[in-house]
Amino acid sequence: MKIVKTLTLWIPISALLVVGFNNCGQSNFESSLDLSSLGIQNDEMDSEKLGLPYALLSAEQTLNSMLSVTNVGTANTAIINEYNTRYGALAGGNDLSMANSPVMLGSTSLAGEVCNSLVTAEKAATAETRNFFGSVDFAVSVGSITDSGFNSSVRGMARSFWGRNETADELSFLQEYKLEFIAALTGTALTQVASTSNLITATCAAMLSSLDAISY
Amino acid sequence: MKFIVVSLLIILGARTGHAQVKPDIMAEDPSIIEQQARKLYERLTGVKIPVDSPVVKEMAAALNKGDRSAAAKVATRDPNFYNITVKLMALQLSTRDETIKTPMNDFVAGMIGVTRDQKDARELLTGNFYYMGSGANIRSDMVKDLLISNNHYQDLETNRIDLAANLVRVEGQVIATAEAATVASPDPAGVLTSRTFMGAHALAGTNRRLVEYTFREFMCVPLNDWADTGAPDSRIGRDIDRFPAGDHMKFQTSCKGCHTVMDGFRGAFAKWDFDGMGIKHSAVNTRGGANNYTIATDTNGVINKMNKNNSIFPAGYVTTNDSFVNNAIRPVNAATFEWRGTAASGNGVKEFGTIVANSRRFSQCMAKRVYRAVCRKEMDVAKNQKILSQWGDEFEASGYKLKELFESIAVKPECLGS
Repeated sequence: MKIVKTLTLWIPISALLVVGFNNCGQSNFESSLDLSSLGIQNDEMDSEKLGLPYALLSAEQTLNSMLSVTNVGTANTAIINEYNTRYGALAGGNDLSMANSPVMLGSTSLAGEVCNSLVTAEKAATAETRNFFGSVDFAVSVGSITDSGFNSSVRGMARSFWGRNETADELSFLQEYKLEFIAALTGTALTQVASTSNLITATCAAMLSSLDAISY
Repeated sequence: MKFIVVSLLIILGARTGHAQVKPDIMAEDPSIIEQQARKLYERLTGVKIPVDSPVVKEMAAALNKGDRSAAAKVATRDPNFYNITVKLMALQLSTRDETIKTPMNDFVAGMIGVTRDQKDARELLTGNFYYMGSGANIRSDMVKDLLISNNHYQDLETNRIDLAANLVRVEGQVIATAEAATVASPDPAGVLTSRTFMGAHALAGTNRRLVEYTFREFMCVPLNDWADTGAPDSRIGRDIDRFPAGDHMKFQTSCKGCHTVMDGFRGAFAKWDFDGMGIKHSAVNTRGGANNYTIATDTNGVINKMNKNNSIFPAGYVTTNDSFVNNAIRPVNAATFEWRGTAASGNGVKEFGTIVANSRRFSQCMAKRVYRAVCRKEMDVAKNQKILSQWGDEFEASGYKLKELFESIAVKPECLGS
C-alpha cells in the first residue's frame, strides 16, 4: 500500500523526468524532425549514425534489462505482477516509433517495482557493500541526504542504467527534483526515514525508465 | 584462495548474466571501444548491461585486439542470447500475426535448440525432432500439455525457466491418436510440423497458408512477390473461381499468379490437418469425422478441405495424394530462389521443406532475419542483394550454424559500424 501511495507522488514527476533523459535524443522520437537544413533527407535519416537512440526495447527486453542493470537479477512476485499488468502497454517490438505515452508510463511503473527491490536489497546491506547507494544513510530523514551522497548515487545509476556518466544538465535536473520532492513533504513525512527511501526509489525509477535506459 | 573464489564468481556471473556490478563512480565516461563492446553485447543479448561490468571489459579487450569475433562470442555465451534474442526472432516467425507478443511455444523451442546445439539450420524445415523442458510446475503430459495444448511451453515462460539451459532435444516427432497414446509422425519436417506452425496455418482454411507462410518466414518473400501468372494452372484447385465477377481476365492476370505457385506446393500438406485436438495426419489418425483424434479425409487419405467447394470450378485440380510440383522454378522466380538439387517436385512436407531449405534464398533469408534481430533494422533485399548473397554464402560455409550467423552479422560494419 505504501508503494502505491508513493507511486501517486513520483509517477507524474518521473513521467516528466523520463522524457528529459534521452541524452542527445530529440523530443520527436523518429524521423519526423526536419534535418533538411543539415543536408540530410528525412527518408535517409539513420538515427544511430547521428548518435541518437535508434531502437526501443520490447517488453521482455525492458524487464530483463532493468533486472540486469540494477543487479536485481531475479524478478520477485511484485515485479512479475507489475510486468504482467503493464505487458500490454510495453513495446511489442523494437521500432522507435512505438515510444508513446503508455510505453513510457508502463516502463516507469515497472521501474518503480524493480527499484523498490533494489533499494530494499541495498538497505539490508552495509554501506560499504552496497553497489549504488553506499553514500546514502537510509536511517535518517530525507533532509539529511547530502548533495555529494545524492550525486554519487546518480553517477552509479547513470553508469549502470545509461552506460555513461550523467551530464551536468541531467544532474542539475535531478538535484532540482530532489529539492522539489523534499519541499512537497509535509508534517511527519518530512522527518520519517521512509521518505529517504522514497526519494531514492523515485530517482532510481525515473532514471531506469528514461529513454536512454529503454532504448538502444 | 580469495582470488580464485572471486574469479569464479565473476566467471559464473558472466555466464548467468546476473553478475553483481558495482559502478565505478570515479571513472571517466566510457571509451569508444567500451561503448562499442556494450552495444555489441546489447545487440546479441537484447539486454542492457552496466558499463562497468567485467563482461564489457572482456569484450572491450577483444575489440582492442581487433578480434570482433571473440567479442561476439563473449556475448553469445550469455543465456539471454537464447532466452531473449533468438526467442524473440522465433516468436515473430511462429504465428500468423508475426508478433513477438506471442506465448512461448514448440516452434520457438525448436529454433532456440537448433541454435544452441549448433545444428544445421536446414533441420528447422526437415528434421525429426522437438525440444521440451522440465522442472517444478511445468506441465509435461505429452498429449495433454504438448500435443493438444501449449501448456508445457507456456509454463516454461510463466516460470521464467532458463531456456538456454533447460531445453532438451527429443528425437522423433509424435502425433496424438488417443488421450494417452501417440505414434511417430509419418512426415516430420522440423518446425513446419510443429504444433504452433500447424496451429497457425493449418487451422481451417485450405492448407494454402502453410505454403504462403513457409515462404514468407523462411524465404523472406511475400506471396505477391513470387506470384507467376505465366506458370501452369493445372494444379489450381476447384475452389478457385476462374471467372471472378464473370471476368476470366481477372483470374488470368491476378488470381492465377498466386495460385499457380501456392497450389503447386499445396499438395505437400494434403494429409495434414489441425483442430482443437492438435495436429492430425491421415496416415496415423483414424479416418472419419473431425472429432477428437479422428481426421476428416476422403478414401485417398486426403483431408476434406483440400477438395472442398468443388462446384466453383469443377474442372479444377483434384488432390488425390501428397505430391506437389514447384511452379516457382520458372525463369521469373529462378533468380529469386536459386533452387538446388531435385527441386521440381516431391511428396509430403519433409520433401517440401528440403527443397526450401536447400535453396540459396533460405540462407539469405536467415541472414536477413538475423540482421533485423541484432541490428534492429530492416534490410531492403532488392537494394542489398549482393551483401545478402555474401552473408548467405558465409552462413552455408559455416555449416548452416545459426549461432555463428548471429555472431558474424552482429560485428559486420553494416551493423556495428567500422
